[in-house]
Amino acid sequence: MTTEHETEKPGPALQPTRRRVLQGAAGVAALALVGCDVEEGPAPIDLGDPEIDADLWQTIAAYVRVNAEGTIGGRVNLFNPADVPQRVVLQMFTTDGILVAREVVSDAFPPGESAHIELDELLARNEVPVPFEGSLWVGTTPESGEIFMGLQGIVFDWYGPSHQASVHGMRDFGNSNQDTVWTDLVLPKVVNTDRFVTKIAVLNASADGVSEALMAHPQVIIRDDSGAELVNAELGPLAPYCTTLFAVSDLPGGAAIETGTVQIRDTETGLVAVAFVFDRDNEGFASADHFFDRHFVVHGTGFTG
Amino acid sequence: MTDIATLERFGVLYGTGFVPSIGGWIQVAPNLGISTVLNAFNTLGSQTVEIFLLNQAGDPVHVQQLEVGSYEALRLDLEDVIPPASLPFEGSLWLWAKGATDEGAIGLQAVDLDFVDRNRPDGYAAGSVHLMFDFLDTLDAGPFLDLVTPRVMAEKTPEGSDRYQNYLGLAQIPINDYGPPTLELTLSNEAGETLDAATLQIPVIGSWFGSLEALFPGLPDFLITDGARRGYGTLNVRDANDGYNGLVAMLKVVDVVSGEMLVNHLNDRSFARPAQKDE
Repeated sequence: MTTEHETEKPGPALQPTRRRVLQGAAGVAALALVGCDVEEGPAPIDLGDPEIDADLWQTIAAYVRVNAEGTIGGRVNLFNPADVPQRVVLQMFTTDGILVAREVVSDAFPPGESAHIELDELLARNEVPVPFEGSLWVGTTPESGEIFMGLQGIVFDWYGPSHQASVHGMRDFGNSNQDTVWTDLVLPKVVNTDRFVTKIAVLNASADGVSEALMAHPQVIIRDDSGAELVNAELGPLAPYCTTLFAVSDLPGGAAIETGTVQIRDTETGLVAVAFVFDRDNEGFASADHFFDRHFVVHGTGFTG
Repeated sequence: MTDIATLERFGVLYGTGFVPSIGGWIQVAPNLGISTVLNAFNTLGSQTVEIFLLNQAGDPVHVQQLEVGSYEALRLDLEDVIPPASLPFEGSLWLWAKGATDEGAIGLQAVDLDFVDRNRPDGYAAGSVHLMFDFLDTLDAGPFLDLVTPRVMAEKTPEGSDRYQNYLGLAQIPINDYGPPTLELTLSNEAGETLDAATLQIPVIGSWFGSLEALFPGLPDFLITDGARRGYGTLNVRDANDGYNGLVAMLKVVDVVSGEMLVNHLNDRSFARPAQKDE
């Protein structure tokens, strides 16, 4: 299926194994059909808001939460590294994929400028009640040119009861040199001690305007340090823009984890994943990591995506 | 001073198919309960890994080669490998990897560093960061080294003291430019004003760590504009000589009130891709 977007954006043709772009009504229809949680029935999707924006390239997404007391919250730090202005749009979705806030940070965010947005203030401006748990998406559209730079330097900060955690943003939406698996994300460390446990947030990042809205079936593989599999589980279906957060110890076989590695795969759907070290005593995130793309290719002179 | 033997060894590794997978500034101070742990996950075939620990001047204090099997994890508490005479240690870590696998020799795909505070409960990481070389200017436009972060922080406590302390860690190796880089550092505030620090020279192989407040005197007041309680800054580090080097940088922000610290690596400002969205 050839789309208008493909003709507008120059570049190499997508691999024939890739499902192609859905836009407009087709994309929205797909979203409505897949719902958010199959087991509990489809959750409502705000179809009135044009989240399927073909020109809005989602640079990054992150799991976020904000409480009413102001003790749990977050901030997103943005920087435009490009030499052209960029339209910058923030969108917030509930964990079950309902769009609750859409805010244009700037129609023409100047080159070299930064912005810092407090999530509690963003929610208040959009009359979204707290406590809130869901995801924040940063989308950009360069004013001109054929280079996509997004917003380099994006950092999400989380506030917790006694900790702060921070992770830099990265668009881990896909692979760069392999066709058979769309998402293949890895992280070298998970922990499960009396005090600390790794929690992982997984977001379905398909349907951002230039990719097809697909139900995700994330496969989570956790190995001990010798490579032996401790966990090999498929999470429940996850619809576009939906988020799930889980402790590795709660997965089947997860009780055996002490330290290990984690791999998250999905054959067809683009996912974003972030890991947190959760402090059971303080019920806060002590640190955060984004995942690595297993197929992020390193050439002899550097890295390419 | 440049350690010629290390320079030559890097050249040999580079020329024999090893891929530089990570580099970064590290600290190991047992007297303070501080260590750094290297975590890596090899998702390809078996790989040979060579690890260098260099002091700030670039002299090696530990070099180790080992094999990491397919889907095995590599965990190395650096306190265990640094010779006691070299402790406490501040310097840089460099990791090279080589493995002929079905998917090519593409190094280790998942490597990070945990900054460990042993005064905390077991399992606590004071901060975790993965670091990458700014090896490639994807826009093919100078400066070749151009790193950036928008989250330098300043805030006044209710008592009027400074809540945050900002630190910069740098680590550098040459690629094929053997002159030491001259680093220009610029800090901008939310009002769009900029401050330039004195240029910083670090060894051609080596590292540097220091306070941003020392580099930019008056930093908190510069960032807190319009009477706000908190302010943010954007830090840009670039090589004035546009040298062809490998530089990694991280920002450590210490919250004096809570005692916590946040660590982030600086991003490559010139990381870009063609306007084809490759899901």
